Order: sequence, then C-alpha cells, then structure tokens
Amino acid sequence: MFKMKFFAAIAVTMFLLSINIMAKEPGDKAEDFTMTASDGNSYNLSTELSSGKTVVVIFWSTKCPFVQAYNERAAEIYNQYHDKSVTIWPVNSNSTENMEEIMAHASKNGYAFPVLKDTDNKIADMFGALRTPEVFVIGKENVILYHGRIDDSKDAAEVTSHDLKNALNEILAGKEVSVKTTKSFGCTIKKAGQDN
Amino acid sequence: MKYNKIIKVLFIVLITGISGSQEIKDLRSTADVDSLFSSLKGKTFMLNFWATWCPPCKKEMPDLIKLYKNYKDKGFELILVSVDDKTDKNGALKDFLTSQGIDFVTYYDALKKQEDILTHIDNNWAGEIPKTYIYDSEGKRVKALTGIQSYQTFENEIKKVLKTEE
Repeated sequence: MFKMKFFAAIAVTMFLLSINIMAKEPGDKAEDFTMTASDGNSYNLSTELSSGKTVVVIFWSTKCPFVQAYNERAAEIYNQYHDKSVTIWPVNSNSTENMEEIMAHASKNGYAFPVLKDTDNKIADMFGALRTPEVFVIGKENVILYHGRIDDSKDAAEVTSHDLKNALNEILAGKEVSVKTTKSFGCTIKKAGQDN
Repeated sequence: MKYNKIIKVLFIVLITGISGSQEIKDLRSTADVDSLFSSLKGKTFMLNFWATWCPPCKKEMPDLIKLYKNYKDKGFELILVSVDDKTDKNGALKDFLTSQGIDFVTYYDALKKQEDILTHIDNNWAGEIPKTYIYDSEGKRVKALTGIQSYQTFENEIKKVLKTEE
C-alpha cells in the first residue's frame, strides 16, 4: 500500500513537472487570462478574441538586448496589422522588471501598444514560454495558430524569413498557417524565485 | 637597438607559445557539430551557448573559465559556442574573448538557420541563453542548465559526472 502511494506521488509529481516545462504548441488551446498593462487598463484574452480578433502574445523584456533589437520591428508589425483585427500584446513576465520600468521603457520607445504585466509568470508558465522574444498567435476558440519567432535574425539587415508576418498574412487570408512553429535564440524569462 | 627588437620579438613568440592562442572555429553544419562531439569522445565536457549581447552569459564566463582551468587536467573540456550576430564576430566577440584572457579554441554558430543548431543539440531547447549542457565521456548528455549559474553549481555538476566515471 505504501509502495503504491509512493509511486502514485512520483507519477503526480512528474506529471506536474511536465506541465511546467511543456510549451503549448499550435493546435493547443490557451487558457483565458487577464492582465494589467502599461496603459493602466486590464486586458482579457476571451474578450479580445470574442470581437473576432487574432491575438499576438510576444514575451517581452525591457532589458533583454535581443528584444531591444526588435523595438522598431514590433512597432512596424503593430502599424501594419492593428487595423486588420490583429491585437499585439507584448507580455513582460520577468520578475526582475516591474510595472514602472515597463511603463518607462514603453514610453521611451514610443510604443503605441500596451505591454501587459504577467505577475509571478503565471501566463508564461501557462504557455510554457521560456524565452524573450517568444511569440504565440491565438485565434478563434483560444486555439494557438503559431508559436515561435518574429523573424529569423536579430540583425534586421540579415532577415530572410518574416515568420510572424507570414503567419498573420495567412490567418487574415483565411488560410491555414503553413509554418506553425519556428525557433530562435533569445534571453531567458526571469521567473520568480529563480536567479537566472 | 637591434638586440632590443630581437628580444621583443622573442618575448612575444614565447608568451604566445605559453599562453596558447585564441581561435574561433566556425560550426557551419550539423556535421561540424557531430565531428566536434566525436573529437571529444572519452572526455567529460560542458557545452555553453552564449553571446556578447547576453549580459548573464558574460557574467558567468569567468566562472566557466575558472572551472575549465581547475578541471582540464582531469579530462574535462569546455566548449564555448557563440551565437553572436555575424557583424559582431570580428569585433565584440573577439574583444570579449581577449578581455577574458581566453587562450583556447572557442566556437561560433555559423549554421545558416538558427533552428538548425537548436534542434540538433536539443529538440526541447527554446533557444534561451545562457544554456549549458554537460556530456559524459561516452558523449551522453547528462545535464541541461538554463540561465546563469554559479561556479558552485557548475563545479557540483562536473564533480558528479567525473565521480561516476572514476
């Protein structure tokens, strides 16, 4: 009896650990969330999706140099898509970056979009996100349509594949996303209680 | 005067000979990665992915170098792979290696696509750095460390592997 309980406990622990480290992938559903943002408002995923919008969540940072290389490109993507029923939500899950810093950074870079604060990295954990920048595109019924990078080079001059834009163009054209997952380098998400 | 010049040249040659040389080798394909791994057979090694744009990577570098110096005589190798931008390879990258006094061969990710090395090394790796993998002398990956680590953590992990191989 003791042995059974012991092995059951190990199984449950391993299952919980696997939840924590497994990233959600295209086809999976994002759980609903609400976050407060740099503009003082609260934003809810289901509400945004119910108006027919496609939501782009990009795990973001005020400090990560890899993310800073994308400041202009994020603005460009926002300008290109925000009036086409696409919502751009950079999400800051870093325990090392508070709302004041997020607001100052957004203002300094002239963001026309809010940056959402993921307190205690609950949303990063829900998605299984580990990196900044890391993109999840969410469509109807909370289904994830794309997971990966913005494009294929930190150096804007070296970009050969505009992966996020390609995915959005296909979604807006009513097509299935042809490249649903991509990979890139980036910074670690600084999770609460971890010194990394 | 002439003798002074000769002495200077000899001194430089001597110093270079003692300290080894800083060389950055390109990893151009997954085959290059495989042949690097094959060349390390029989050694415990640490594979560290880093970049000059990554502050935590630069912060942990002195500890990695210290670890290498303390354990290289025990069959341990340190493989540093930079994932810097091409434009930083001959500038920021070389300058940083020099500033750290690195006098051994390091590597540069010159694979065409970012996902090539990520998938080849570890399909579950999202691309976050610093990322450090530890391999035993059979070439089997025994540990993956994400984010900045302390010298103590690095040393404890290496000791574990070296101990099981005694």
